[in-house]
Amino acid sequence: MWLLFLLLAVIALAIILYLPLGAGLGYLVVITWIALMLYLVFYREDAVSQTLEKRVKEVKP
Amino acid sequence: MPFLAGVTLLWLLFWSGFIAWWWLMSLLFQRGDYALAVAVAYALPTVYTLAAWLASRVRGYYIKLLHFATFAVLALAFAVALVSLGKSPPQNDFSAYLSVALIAFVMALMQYPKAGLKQYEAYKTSLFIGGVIFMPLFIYFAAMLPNVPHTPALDKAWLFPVGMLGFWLSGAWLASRATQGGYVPGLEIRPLMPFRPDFMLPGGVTFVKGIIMMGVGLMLAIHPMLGMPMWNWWGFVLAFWGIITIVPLRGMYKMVKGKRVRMLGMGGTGFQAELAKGLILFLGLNIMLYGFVNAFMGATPFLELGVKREFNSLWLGNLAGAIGVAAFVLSFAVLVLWRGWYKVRLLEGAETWGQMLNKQFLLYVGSLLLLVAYMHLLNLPPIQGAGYMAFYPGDNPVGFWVGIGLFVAGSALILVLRPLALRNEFEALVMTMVGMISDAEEGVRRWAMEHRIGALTAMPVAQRDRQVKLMMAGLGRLPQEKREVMVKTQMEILSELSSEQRRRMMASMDKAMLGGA
Repeated sequence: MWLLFLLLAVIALAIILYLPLGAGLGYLVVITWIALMLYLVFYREDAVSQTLEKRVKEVKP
Repeated sequence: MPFLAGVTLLWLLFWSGFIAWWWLMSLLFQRGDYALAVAVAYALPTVYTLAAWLASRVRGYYIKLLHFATFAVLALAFAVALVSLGKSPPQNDFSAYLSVALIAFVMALMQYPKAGLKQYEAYKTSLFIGGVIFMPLFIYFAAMLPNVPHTPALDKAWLFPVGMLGFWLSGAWLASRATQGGYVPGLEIRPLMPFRPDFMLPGGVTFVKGIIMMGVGLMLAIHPMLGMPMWNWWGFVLAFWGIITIVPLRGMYKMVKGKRVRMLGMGGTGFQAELAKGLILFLGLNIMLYGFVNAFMGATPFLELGVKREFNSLWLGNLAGAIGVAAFVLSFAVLVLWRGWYKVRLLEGAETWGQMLNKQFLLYVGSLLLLVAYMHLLNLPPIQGAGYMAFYPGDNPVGFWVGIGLFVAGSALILVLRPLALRNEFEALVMTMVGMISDAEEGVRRWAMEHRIGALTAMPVAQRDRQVKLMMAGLGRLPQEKREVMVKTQMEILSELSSEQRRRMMASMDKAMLGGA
């Protein structure tokens, strides 16, 4: 997953370098939002995953 | 690691192939070979889909790669044709290469055989693959539409609806039940949560394509004289992130925070949950609309529209500004507040058709209001004349009627086909959940089934009947040994329920077996 964040950072950097600053910053805000959503969906632990992962560990000590 | 290598390889294949496709189409349009350009545009997704369909009918392991191989052959043929015509891609079109790279990445991710090739067609149906490969028809519009202002090229105007036809059809067929595959192990990315684009793409694509067609149609219809949209790849780069927010990210968010949690009776209900989803939708829709308005106006986002005084009606302080603000506020109220309030009152998976249509109607009205808001707030050229949105069927009959046609087609995607797609997605998810639980470790399986049955017993009768019926259908699709394990665990849990809970479950199971619900 960290590769996805790296990829997003590279894309954001390329856009900032290519476009005028104002436009580049606009894209940066949007890409930061995408990174936040990715974090929320794939990284942040949710109740069901936590419970299930704990269960799996109990089953497989 | 094989996943990463596989996706990277597919990405490179799609990227290079789409670049060759785009440039061949561009060149043919420039030369005036319009029919040939349209043939090239449709050949790639059509032949690719047919290859996937053919491979799904044949037994064999490597034959499942036929559509990828077909893509490589077609890409090579396009490159050879380009060379024979003496043209090569330009060096200074970074936004186009970036856009195509983003499209190619999505294509690779969605079609990669994560659970192997043996059962590929079971989780990537040919109808789904067809829906996916037709999405890059944006490249056709980029090749066909002018990207320099004041180059109307009206002789090419008829080619725009020709592209929109494939764009619409490939969204429409995703509403078919045959789009979703069955349960296949090896697709989970979190416990009891599979990576299944076929469970979120149909509803997302019908909405996104619907709103694009409504917007483009409305823009064509309000021009006092026949005009052509333009194209700017930077606009697409921005709109892409809006689509990503609305379709995969919102879809996954709904799965993690909503559907899976609700199925296990662990929350995920209430207005707050709907508010979060509504806000993600609203933000994604804003990114996508601002991106596509720029793309089809031939402008680079954040440089002209909304930034320069003549394209900012709030700055100008005119009537369009007031209309724009009112439409924007109303759109937020309808999409986020009203729709969220309404959805809380529905029984997930057991909504009546009337409720499904009401839900879509709110989405439709809210999105349309946002479209109207953008047209006015950005003081787009057709608004500048009258100061508000007006129609000119007498002065521009062709533009008006073609625009209305596109608008109606887009509306049908959202109002008619999206409810079907959403219902199919939900049914497939519930049925697949049974398979995922059956493959879990003993302790996890028991825990999940206890929670699932507990949640079912707490549901209103209609909702429980519907979901039990779907679960039993999912159970019926499992191999004998998995089914036996599930039935054994289910019987154990049923015996531990209170008599009232057991009565409810047995009643729903009886109805399902007798063909009710």
